[in-house]
Amino acid sequence: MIEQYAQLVPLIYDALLGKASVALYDCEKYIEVKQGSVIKFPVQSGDTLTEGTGSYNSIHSGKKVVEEIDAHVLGIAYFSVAYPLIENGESIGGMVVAISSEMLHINDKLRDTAHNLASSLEQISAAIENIASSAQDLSTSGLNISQSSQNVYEKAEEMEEVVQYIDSVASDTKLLGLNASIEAARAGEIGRGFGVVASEIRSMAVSSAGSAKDIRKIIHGIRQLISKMTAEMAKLGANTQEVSASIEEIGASIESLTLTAEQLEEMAESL
Amino acid sequence: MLKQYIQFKLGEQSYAVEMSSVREILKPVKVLKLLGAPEFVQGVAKVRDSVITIIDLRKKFGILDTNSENEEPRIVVLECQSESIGLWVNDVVEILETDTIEKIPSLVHYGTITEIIKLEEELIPILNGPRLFTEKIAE
Repeated sequence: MIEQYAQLVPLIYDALLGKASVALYDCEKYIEVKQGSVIKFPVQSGDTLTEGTGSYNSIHSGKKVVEEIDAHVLGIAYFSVAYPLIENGESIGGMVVAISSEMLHINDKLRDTAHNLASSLEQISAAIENIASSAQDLSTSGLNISQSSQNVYEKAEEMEEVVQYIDSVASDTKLLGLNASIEAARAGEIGRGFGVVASEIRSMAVSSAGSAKDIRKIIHGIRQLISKMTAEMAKLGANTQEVSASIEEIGASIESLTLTAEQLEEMAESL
Repeated sequence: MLKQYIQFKLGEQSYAVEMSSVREILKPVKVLKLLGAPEFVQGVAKVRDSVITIIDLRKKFGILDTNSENEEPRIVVLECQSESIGLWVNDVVEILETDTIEKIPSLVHYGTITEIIKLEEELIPILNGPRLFTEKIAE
């Protein structure tokens, strides 16, 4: 009698795409067990019914037994539905189907994932906005530095003018010293002391001219450094602009991604 | 006995004149060109109340000019007999005080250079101011 129901097992099995397990049992043992690809019963054909299982309870209660069993039993959460088979008012056995409950939760999961995606993209969007404004700041700072270095360059120029003045004073002083020496020599013995002073003046003039030369070298060095700096700043400016352009592109991509995420969320909602 | 000389440059080379023959040293002055004067005569210039003739020996002796930026062109005013003659020089270097003088044969330049100062690293010919501007040389 019960054996005739065995024909239904493949039907139900195929109807559930082979993912679920289907079993037929009489009052004592499992007659036929077809293991699904996702959920596998821990029993085989011929095993006796264990007390407390859905199958066992369905026979004894004569009613369907629906159980939701969490992942620690079969490694995956599943629903099991056991229906008793009743003839002449008596349970002669039953059929049980176990199907992964993941499938039931997949909508929720999809919705959550889409939502997470959307909110992550929102964060990225905000971060990119920050980066964009930092790049803008960077560009402004670069301009300021360029302006400052231009100012320093001009100051160096002014300094050079002062040095030029010192130079001309030193040159005049040397000439004065030379003429003083000539006069001292002409005065003979009386001019000897004056001659010493004149010679001191000359050596002072020579050493200040030397210092002026050193300062000029330093100024020249400063100007070269500033020129280098200006060139580097120009490079930096170009790089900053590239970064800004890239950020803009990324922003556009993120925008379209956000749109996709929103569509995904809507789809998940309507499932 | 130590003697004083003024060392100056004509082109690349140093020369010297006895300090006793020098009246003063001037910065370059505005020169009035003289019509018909030889090329080495730059012209005349008014210095205080007197007029001096300025000579450019580079032109006379074919001395190549330099491009040095550190030079300060000067005019060394020499007293020749009763006249004052300005000698255009590339730069006045220093006053030398020395007694290491060597004689050289007077046939050189008709005696324009008769002595030479012997320093450790260079020889500095002494130009004889009065002899420089004799008629023979001027020819």
